[in-house]
Amino acid sequence: MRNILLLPIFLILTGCAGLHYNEASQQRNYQVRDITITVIDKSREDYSQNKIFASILDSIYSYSIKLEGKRGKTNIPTINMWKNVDAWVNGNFITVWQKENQLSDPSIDEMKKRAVRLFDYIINLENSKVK
Amino acid sequence: MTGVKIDINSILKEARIQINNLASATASKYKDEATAAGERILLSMREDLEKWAQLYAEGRITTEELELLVRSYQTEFALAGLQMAGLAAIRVRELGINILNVVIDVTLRLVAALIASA
Repeated sequence: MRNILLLPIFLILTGCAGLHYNEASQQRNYQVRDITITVIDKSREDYSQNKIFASILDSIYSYSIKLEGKRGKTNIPTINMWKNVDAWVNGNFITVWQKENQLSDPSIDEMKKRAVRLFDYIINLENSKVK
Repeated sequence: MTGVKIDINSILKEARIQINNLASATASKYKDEATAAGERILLSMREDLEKWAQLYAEGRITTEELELLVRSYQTEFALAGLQMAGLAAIRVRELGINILNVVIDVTLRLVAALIASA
């Protein structure tokens, strides 16, 4: 019984920054989502003329993940969400764009919807955190 | 409060009952939410797969593009799992606070009862 009582006390007294809502993080979530959609839209054009955007997008994700990491271990779900979306955007999407050089309008429209959907998870989790 | 003897065992016994009730209710809600989330994704996935299959059949999207879109659902399932984990962590903290409140509340009521009967 003592252990049951000690656990919640421990959780409360230790740092739990990742469990608390962070306005700057949320703003960044929306901004990176919008930048991602803009870059997906760019994939109608030749990759060779736009690879700078791919590079910038990759850097933005890396930086965002680094910042989320600073919120501590309690933020691991959010950090891993970012890593998963990063793998799809900067791994899969950019690779396909590079390979195909230009993507089709229907696929771009669908990809933008999917990107919004994926970011909804990051945004909704942040909204669920303690305010 | 001299002379009032606090019965630790009674406090712990009542707190244990209330904490078990709290934990059971919380765990049951998680399972229902996870199941509902999974069903929503599957429904959405079915609709999208039908649409994408049609686009592919019409030659409007390539194999690579179709594969990329399908992979987004792989990502979405991972995110749904992480969302559950994230919510669980938030609720464990809330559960912890609620448990503390239960303990404090039970202790105060028992102490008040002891003082009243002294």
